Amino acid sequence: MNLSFETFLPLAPVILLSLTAVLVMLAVSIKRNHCVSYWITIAGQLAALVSIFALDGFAVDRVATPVTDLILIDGHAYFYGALVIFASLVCTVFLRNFIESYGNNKEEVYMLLLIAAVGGLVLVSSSHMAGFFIGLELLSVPVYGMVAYTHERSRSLEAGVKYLILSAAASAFLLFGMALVYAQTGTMLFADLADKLAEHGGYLAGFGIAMIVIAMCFKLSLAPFHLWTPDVYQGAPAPVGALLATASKLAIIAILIRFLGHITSDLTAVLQPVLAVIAIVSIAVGNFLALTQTNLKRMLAYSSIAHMGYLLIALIAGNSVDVVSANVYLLTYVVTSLAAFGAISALSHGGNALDAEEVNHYRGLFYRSPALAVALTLVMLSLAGIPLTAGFIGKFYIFMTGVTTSSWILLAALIIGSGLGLYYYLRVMVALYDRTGNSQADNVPAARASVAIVILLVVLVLWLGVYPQPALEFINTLH
Amino acid sequence: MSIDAIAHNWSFAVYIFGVIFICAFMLAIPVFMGGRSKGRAKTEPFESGIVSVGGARLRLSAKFYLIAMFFVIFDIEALFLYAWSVSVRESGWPGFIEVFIFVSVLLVGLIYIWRLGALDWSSETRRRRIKDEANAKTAATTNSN
Repeated sequence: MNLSFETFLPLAPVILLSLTAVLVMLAVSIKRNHCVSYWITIAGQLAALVSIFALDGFAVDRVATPVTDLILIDGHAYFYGALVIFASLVCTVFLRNFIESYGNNKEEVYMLLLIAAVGGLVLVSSSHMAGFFIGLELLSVPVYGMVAYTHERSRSLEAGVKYLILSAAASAFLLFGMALVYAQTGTMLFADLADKLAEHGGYLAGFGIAMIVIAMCFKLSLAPFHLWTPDVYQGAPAPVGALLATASKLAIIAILIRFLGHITSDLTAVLQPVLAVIAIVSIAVGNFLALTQTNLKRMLAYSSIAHMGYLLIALIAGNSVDVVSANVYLLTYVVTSLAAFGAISALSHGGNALDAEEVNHYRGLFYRSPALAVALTLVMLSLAGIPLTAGFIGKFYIFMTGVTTSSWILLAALIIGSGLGLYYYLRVMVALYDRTGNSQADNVPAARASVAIVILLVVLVLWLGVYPQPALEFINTLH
Repeated sequence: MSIDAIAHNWSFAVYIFGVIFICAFMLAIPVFMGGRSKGRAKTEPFESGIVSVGGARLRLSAKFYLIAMFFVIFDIEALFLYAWSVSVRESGWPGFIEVFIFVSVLLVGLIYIWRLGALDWSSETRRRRIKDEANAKTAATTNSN
């Protein structure tokens, strides 16, 4: 194999992010300085983001370029990669204000964040079981550390350990599934999978693929595998929750779409009803359990279960994955979730025993910090899928997928779930404008940089909701 | 299924059955055939030999685990270098560059853990105390002079 500079050029974002992680490590070992580490992280991520656009990542005429067997970089890989970097960049800004007041070592969290972003990039572009697994672990392992980063809080430590153990169990499922698929087909390449599956009959590979899908469902916290989600979201520091809800979810969705695209239709026919049940149960469980939550982080966790259920509809309705709907939904979901967790991060401080996570913390926020309260209102509207916000566009696409494939049961679940969702999102909004005083959180100042980013994200939410055409056209050109 | 296959599978089934039967037999037969003696020492986990002293839950310093982990990390480095060393000529300059990147990343890691104080055996507070004591001693001797 002839390796040259051009071979590795499409990997520029990955290389830049890895380099940044090493630079942060070097900077920490020379002199511990929060500000320096932060700016190196920001600069590295911006460079990686620019490199994606500079490489003609989204050029209409670009062809998918394989980099060795492990990685295949196409328009979708670039799209998801850009979203992963965008999410981690936003999380970095949220992290800064949060970690500033934290008593222990502050800088390592950026290292972990960068490594997780590298993992996300590898995952979204992998075309081989090995790349798949390496990417997934590279994405998850730093996140364990980030979840337990504020280990003085017992909840954070508990969440970290819980996530570590359950996630490791899911990874074991994934590995065993891969082994079974390999035992049957003798290939680890996604591209060869369909041919080899059709060639060698037998049920081993079917079991293997089922196990891989189970592991993915676990990582996406879909319904029967969702039990870890609320605890981990609650225990994780708010900015880490943002990363967990966006970058990690979307990278896994990306690989799931790619993977499902490569297996034979008789296997997808078996998987489809199972995944449909998982989607419906996720929507039901997520929405019903969110109804009674008084903790905003737990509520967002349950709502993310429901949202992943909605997203699954795009993946399973009809005979093939509706990639455009999934992409539109993911885009709107990522922007909205980032803003929601950003609002929590803006009011939370690493030095305190708890984040601002109870709904009570937000009582009367409008009279203390009007901009943030209005932003949070719009975010809640977007999560509920009200027109003129991004959430509506995403949900509309999922709805259209359901209609065109006449999946009426899935559609019914979507509609009933959205109706239920409205209740708990509205409850948060009501609290924001409540005039009764709030003794708990009156003195917590909102971090200005985080608020600014939240407002920017909300502007993006509105822009996607009011004038979605450019974004939709852009997604349609991906291939 | 051919006769051969059935015969093959049948012998395997007999084998499995035999294994289960022997285990069950060995566990069950003493209950009916053998007597049972009771005694204070009989209920202890160690029936013979020296009577155990203290619990098995020793508290080891976390440093041991740390060192073990560093060993694993840098041992892996050596392992990859072995793989490279047998193919130095074949992998050529690209291989060399790759190994160079690999080793330099690990070197940065080594610098990092060194600066973090992870390679120092005694804890930071203890080191400071020893230093303070030494300073006090030198101060005392200079005063007496």
